[in-house]
Amino acid sequence: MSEAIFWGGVLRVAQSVSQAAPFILTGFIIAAVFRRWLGPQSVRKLFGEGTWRSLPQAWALGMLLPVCSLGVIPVMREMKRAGLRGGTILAFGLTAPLFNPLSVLYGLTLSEPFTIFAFSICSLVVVTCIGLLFDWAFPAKVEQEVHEESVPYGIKRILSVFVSMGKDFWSYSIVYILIGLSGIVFLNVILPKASFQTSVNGGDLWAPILMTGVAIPAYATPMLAMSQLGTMFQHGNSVGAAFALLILGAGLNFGIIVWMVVAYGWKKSVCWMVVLLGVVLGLGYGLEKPLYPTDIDPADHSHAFDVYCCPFSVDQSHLPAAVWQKLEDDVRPEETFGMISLFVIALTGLMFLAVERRFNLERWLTSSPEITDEKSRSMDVVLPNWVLAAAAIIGLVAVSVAMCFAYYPSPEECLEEIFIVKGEVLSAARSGHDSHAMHWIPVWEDWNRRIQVGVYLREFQLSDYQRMKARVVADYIELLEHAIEDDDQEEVKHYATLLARAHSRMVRAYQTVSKESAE
Amino acid sequence: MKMNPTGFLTRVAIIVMLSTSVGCLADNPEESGHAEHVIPEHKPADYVSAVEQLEIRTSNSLPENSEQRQQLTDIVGWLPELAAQTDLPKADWDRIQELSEKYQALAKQQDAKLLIQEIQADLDELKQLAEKTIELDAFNTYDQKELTDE
Repeated sequence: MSEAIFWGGVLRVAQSVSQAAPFILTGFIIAAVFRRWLGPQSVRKLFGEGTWRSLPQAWALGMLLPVCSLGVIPVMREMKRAGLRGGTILAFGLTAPLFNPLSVLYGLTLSEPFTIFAFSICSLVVVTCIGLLFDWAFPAKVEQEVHEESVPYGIKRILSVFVSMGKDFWSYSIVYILIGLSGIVFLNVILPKASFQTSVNGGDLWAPILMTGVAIPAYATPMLAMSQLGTMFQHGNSVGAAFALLILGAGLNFGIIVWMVVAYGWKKSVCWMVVLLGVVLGLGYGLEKPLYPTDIDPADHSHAFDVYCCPFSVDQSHLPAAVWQKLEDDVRPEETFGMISLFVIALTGLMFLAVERRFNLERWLTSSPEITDEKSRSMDVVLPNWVLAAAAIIGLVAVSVAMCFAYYPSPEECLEEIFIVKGEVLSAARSGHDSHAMHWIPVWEDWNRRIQVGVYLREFQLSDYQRMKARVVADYIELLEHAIEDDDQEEVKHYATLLARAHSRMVRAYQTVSKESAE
Repeated sequence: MKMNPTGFLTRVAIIVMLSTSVGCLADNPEESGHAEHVIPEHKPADYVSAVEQLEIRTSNSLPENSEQRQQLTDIVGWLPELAAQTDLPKADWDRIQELSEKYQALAKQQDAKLLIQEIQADLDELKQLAEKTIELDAFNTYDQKELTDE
């Protein structure tokens, strides 16, 4: 038993680290840009500090910047250093991990795009309400913690960002991030494999409360949270629980809570948490009926939360090999890039810290360059720091938009991928190679979602016809999965046949669009 | 009241370690059997059966009880899904969805009489589409070929 829990914890933490790596990297970049290029005054200006716009502005910036609830920690710490008010920081910290361009696109192709619109408006209500209450109840004037010399133009200005990122890696930020990850271990210990499948069914009054308990320690990237919402709506699970999952699962973790207690003390943190939970649960129960999907057959379960439970059962063996295999299957190229980048940042951070023992790096970075050639200097336009910072932040947003097109390819490309995956699943299912089929089924489910987003991204619409064809395929994939789990060969063959037919129909539905758009 | 980060983090680490240890000692309940999709008994197997059901259920007078009314509402709601499991082209599917939405709106208004009248009025069209699905499914035999190839 303890072996399953141990290796389960190893797998869950490794999965979370790999998923979080690109977002943590982004968080360190944003924090360094805020510190070195923008500076405290411009950061306060960016967030509209002291004006009525500060909370909605924090919400809007949070929607644009691609960070998760772990990656947002360095940014929140930097915002506090810049002297922003608690309400604004917490509003940004809670919203930034909920949405990004990729996840919003994904959400808009769900059966009820209005739901995502309603959820995002409700998230604005949540952050505005608790931000206003927080700043009203605790109006203490926040002092800027440190005064920093600005970095002069030239190579030092670029280098200073890397120095900041490296040093930030070896600061309390990484401790809070590790505390955030401890929530995953905690859930792995208390939730046995697949034990949360039937806990948040639609109509269950306790579902939002139960989900709240799981969502706070859980870690979910914006994409994971959005795909879980999709699965919940597909299965007719509780809408209130889905809302709690989005706000608390994607937006909050143990690391943020601990940082908040350290930064603001127990009293303010408890008040903030109580108001947050009250508003989230209140809205969750309020949304339950109006947003409940009417065009689905409610299932009595959901697989969406299997990722929060222990991945292994007591009787499973060869767990280290299973962990390795799962990681090999799951880790995406962008996650590998994120992890390697973080490793490089960690190494350079160590190097900078070692250099600082013998040499005053900060003084060198902030000392002005000697201008030797006035003539060439006149041709060399020095851009102000805020221009570079704006370019960096807009660049991050632009990269995340470009990533949308890479992550959600054209329908033709998706269909080619699906064709390969379909062959793997159906031939493995029919020939009794269950583990092979079960490995490829989530891949097919993923491409089935991505083709819909890919069409939406390029056509700015997805017809109900295409959406329904994809839904029929998704339903049959799940029925086939259950048949394989039951080891019922007759059912496997039956659903494999139906799935193949549904796939052919879906291909025709999406090929028509491809041809029309080509013409 | 601000806290000393080091002291506070040490306390948090101890709490997390303790709670994790307690969790490890506790019995891990047996993994629950995996859940199933419950398909309602009155859900027709395909679009053709759904149209047959609509004809039967609207041939008599009003539904006798709320359960029958609910079942009728369910069936009209399933029409687009069942039609998507056929080879009907987009235009035909769109029409079925349009009719389904119209029926569901009437069902929401609790006007069973009007709902039945509307279904009866559209029944010929629904039947024609059902016949078309049979023809198309018979014509499109490539699925079977594809299965054999695999």
